[in-house]
Amino acid sequence: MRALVVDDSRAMRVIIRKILAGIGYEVFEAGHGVAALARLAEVGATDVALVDWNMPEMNGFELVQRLREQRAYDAMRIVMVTTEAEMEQMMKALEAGANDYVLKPFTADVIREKLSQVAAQQ
Amino acid sequence: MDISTALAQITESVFLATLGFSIEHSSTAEADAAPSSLVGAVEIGGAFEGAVVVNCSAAFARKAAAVMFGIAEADVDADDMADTLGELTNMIAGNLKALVGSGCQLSLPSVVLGSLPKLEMLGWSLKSALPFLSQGQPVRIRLLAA
Repeated sequence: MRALVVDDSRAMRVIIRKILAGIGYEVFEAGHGVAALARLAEVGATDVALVDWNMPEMNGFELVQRLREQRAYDAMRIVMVTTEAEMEQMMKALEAGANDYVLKPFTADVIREKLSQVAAQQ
Repeated sequence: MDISTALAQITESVFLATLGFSIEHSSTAEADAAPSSLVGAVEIGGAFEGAVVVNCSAAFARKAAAVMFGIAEADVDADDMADTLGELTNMIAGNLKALVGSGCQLSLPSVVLGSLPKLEMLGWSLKSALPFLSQGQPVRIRLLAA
């Protein structure tokens, strides 16, 4: 299983990477949406992408929109990992093609549980 | 719930879940007298206009970064501390945003390192100030707003 973690905070990427690596994921990282698209062009679609909302260059919402425009990423599960706790914004992300979301701060159990849930949606 | 209580609860939740650090409320004088080596700020714009500002010592930022990056405190550098404080400030502001009005936007975090007594936002006033100790180090959370 392969995952892409997109967050402008290196610390947050490290935390998520460790959780994912602990359950067997090969993890790729990017610091914003533009970098994420470039990374995916290099390594191909991953099984799941965990995407922050508030990032420079291209935010998480725009990234979800861009990914869902491309058939190559149709099967990729997208989980927003964000502090944007407003339900209105989460609904917007889900409508744009995100599969689910996790609110920061989170525990490792929450991430693991969410990944199980989105994997089961396939 | 008033804004200060909400801010305190959010801060406690962010510190505990992300760092495993508890917080103890402190006196304003104690926190104000402490050296502030890093300041993190995230602005909230829209129906509510304000900013969450977090001041902390380098010692606290080093401890927090060591936890977040999973490295020894001796291996933490200035970039690690800035990244950590920026993300902590972002989480506090993001969770607070949901309580102050719909349709608001968050700025990206700004972090300044150095011997800075305060970061002021001209035209905004202090709505809440929470001095506390975490890991024996002073940390101050402020909410400034129009």
